Amino acid sequence: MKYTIKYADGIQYISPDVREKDPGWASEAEGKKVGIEEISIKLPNDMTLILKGYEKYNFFVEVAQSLNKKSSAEIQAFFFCGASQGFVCIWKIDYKTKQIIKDIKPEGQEYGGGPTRGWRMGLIGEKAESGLCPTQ
Amino acid sequence: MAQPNTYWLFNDTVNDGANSGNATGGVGALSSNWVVIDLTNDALAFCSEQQNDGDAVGGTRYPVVIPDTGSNEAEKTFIKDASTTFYAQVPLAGTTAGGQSGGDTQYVFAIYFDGETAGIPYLEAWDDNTHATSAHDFLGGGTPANSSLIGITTTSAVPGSATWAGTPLAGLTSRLSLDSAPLSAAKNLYFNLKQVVTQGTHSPGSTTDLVLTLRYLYS
Repeated sequence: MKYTIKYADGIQYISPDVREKDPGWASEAEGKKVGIEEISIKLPNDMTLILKGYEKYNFFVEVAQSLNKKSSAEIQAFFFCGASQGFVCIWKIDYKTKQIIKDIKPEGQEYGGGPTRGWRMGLIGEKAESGLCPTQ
Repeated sequence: MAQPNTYWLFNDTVNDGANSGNATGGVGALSSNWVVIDLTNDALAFCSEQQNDGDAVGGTRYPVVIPDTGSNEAEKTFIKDASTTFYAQVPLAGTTAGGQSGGDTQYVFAIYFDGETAGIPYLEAWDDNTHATSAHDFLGGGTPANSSLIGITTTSAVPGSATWAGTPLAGLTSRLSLDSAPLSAAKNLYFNLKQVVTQGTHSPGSTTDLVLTLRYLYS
């Protein structure tokens, strides 16, 4: 599973596999002055998740690690977020159940009622939209 | 922001000092001593006052007694240390109601992150390591407020009371935020735990696969 970032200058960035320890969230974008136009990820169910037109974007991996039984942190879910006008559209891909859940929260309350780090610049004044469509 | 490594530790002294040794623990501030927990083989154990530091793990286990009426806080807290095969006491765990050496103390358990996170790390309790349910009666039997496992975050300050109330731990709905913001650098996060068993709520002789779980984000 890899996500693709399309920047406003036409440059595309394809991530490492998001299941790796460093899923490379926009590492190419460090210091980049051009905003993200669109993010997409092909899902195992032959669907593609697309987010575009947001003012900023975030991606993160959720892991859980337990005392007693298992020492390694196990992936629980992947989150793709787009923020616009004070609200965050959150797409959660549950790694175990394969469920895909969409949610909308006020900015700063997007995960567990709290904020997240790692936001990358998008575009201002665009129509923000996201959804699942069949993989081409 | 690659996945940080995490290290769970406990302070095996009565000295309330920070974990200056980070991932490897050892002697910390104010002559505290931090021991790294082996997450696979060690286990957390709440016991009655009969259990002693250094008791053999394979020997007699003295569980917390459920009182005839009301509630009882575990008198002693241990890590069952698989490497030494001894019960290692966590003397600052719990409150003064439990009768150990802690209370309004800050540096009891620690989780050291060697890098930043994308979100606030949480400490949770679950029925088992599938993290699917938290319905065991020791976790409140579906009522998180009745969970016997209670924690408090002390990352930034002492609890403020030697008989701190804390947060009952049960699944996602009742858990501890281990800090007030996502981590922007390596950091020790601190917390304290107690077990409080209540007549009529918790069943004698229960055996469980309960797990204490750290949940965090990276990108």
